[in-house]
Amino acid sequence: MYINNLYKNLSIKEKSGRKIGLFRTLCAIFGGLFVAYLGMTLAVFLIPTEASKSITIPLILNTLAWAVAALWISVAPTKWSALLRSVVPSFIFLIAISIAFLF
Amino acid sequence: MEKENNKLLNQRFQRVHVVAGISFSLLMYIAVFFGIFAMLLPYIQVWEKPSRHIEYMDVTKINYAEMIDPVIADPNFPTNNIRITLPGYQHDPVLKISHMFVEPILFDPNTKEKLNHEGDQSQLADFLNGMHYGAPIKDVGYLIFGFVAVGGLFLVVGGVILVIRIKYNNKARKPVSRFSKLHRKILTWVFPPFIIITLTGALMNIGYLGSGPMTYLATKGQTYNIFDLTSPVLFPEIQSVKKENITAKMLPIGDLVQKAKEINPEINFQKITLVNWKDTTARVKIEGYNPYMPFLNGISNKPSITLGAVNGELIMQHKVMDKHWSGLFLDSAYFLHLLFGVDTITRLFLASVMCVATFGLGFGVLLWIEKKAKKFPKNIPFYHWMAKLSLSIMIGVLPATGLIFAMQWILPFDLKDRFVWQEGIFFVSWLATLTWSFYRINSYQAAKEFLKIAGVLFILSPILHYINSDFSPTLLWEKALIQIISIDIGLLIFGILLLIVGFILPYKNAQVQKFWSKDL
Repeated sequence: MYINNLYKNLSIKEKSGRKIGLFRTLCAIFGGLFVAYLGMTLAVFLIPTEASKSITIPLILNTLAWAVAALWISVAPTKWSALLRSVVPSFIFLIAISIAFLF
Repeated sequence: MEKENNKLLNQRFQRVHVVAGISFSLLMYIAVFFGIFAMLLPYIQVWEKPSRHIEYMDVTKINYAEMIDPVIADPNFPTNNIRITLPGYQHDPVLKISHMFVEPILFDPNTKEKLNHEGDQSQLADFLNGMHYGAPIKDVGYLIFGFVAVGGLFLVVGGVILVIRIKYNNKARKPVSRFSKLHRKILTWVFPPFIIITLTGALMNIGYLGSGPMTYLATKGQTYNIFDLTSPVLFPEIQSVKKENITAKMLPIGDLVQKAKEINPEINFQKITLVNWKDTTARVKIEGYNPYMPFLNGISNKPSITLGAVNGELIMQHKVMDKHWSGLFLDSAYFLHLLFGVDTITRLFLASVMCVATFGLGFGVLLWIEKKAKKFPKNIPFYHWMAKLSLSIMIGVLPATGLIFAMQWILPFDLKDRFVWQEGIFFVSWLATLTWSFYRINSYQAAKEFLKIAGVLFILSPILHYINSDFSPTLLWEKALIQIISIDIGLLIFGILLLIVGFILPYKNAQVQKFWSKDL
């Protein structure tokens, strides 16, 4: 029940885009960080060379990725989608990294 | 529905840009403002020190042995991997002999005597450079400026999206639209170098700090330290050679540099590393910067030539393109930010681009403040804490900076804790501008006063330099100390410009409105 209510509350469409609000801000800052950091860590595995060489690119682009991810999350149409935008990619990247890490 | 969604999206893009922009604007301005001085660091560090008022020498014509031999003769000085920084590196005319484990020793290559230098007593250029990334408050400062850099990236990306998505009206003549237009136009033009510089700035301040988990995962649990992972690729150590313990006669280093110049005439040589010096296995690694391949070398990638020191044979040559692409990528990202060994024209060009960028930031803040002020009738003076704070930080920093430039040649060089005084006076005077801007009801009046004071101080500093250094302009010219004389001229011109702006800027509200509505 509680989850259902939470979902309902978060998925209400705001009438105006002139207020960003704390929820989106937190999602943007921390969600954006997770999405960007995990995505960039995955990129180390995806670039086809040894880690010592391939890590340079994700390392440099990490902060830009954070900024872009934060921007993408902060302009989400609803709070719920902002939450999804920060959680879902992080989760996918995390699973992919775990697979790459273990095998 | 589609239209409604688009409207909301545009509103959000605009709103996040405004919120992030006004929160980061002042710190970003500080980073960019002092960054301009950091770009001119090589010249300022020569200008500020009496010990550096010496002539530049051709690196192939110097008798190195006379300076190096007495240093190495000291049994306490290590004999392997001794580093010699050649005169002219970063425009410093001295020759520096250093080693990882000992204090560097400086020489005047003209007289070949140990240089009696100021050391910690003179740190003007370093201080201005440090202000650029929060060094005065150490780790806290690095973190703050690192996050500001990320905020800067957020704003640049968001700003570019806004310019693409929204059709702005460029014709309106009100101050608000004028500020908006200037803010947009300026930053659209300067954003490509700006974004690269901000990116590497964020990397240096927080990127490496937060790289632990990424390194751990990437190496599958071997290390947390990014440098353990990348250093062998980016900064490979010099191969050690087994000593034979037979003393041999070394070729003069000047000849070896000359030989290296013949092998690769494109490189500007900066540093020499002596390996197994005085042994039959001795060799020198001479490294530098290739100005014909900008963006590809200079930071991690240093083209070098390794020669045998006994017979001068070529042992190894590292050219710019020999580096792995990860090193080339790193260097191209860092190039615009660090400008190691880069020539004066590029430096001045980038410094002027960033100067324009400070105006872009300033107009952004003015736009925000003007929008707040618009809500009040014109006859009521507008008084807002953010306006006063920005006034003090953005304009008040000018007299404070002018004051430390003037202090550099007022304070005697043997004053105890000289730099603490200088730094202290800088911060106190900057704080004073804050109280003054809150005291003055009319911000424009305060701004005019700051600009005039700053102008006078900047004009005074070259004059004080002539008086207290005993180097008149003609003497500087005769000795070909172009770096120093150009800083003097630069300070003078900057001071005059500030004075002019201080006088022409209007300060009555009606005039102000008219001033910003004029045709540009």
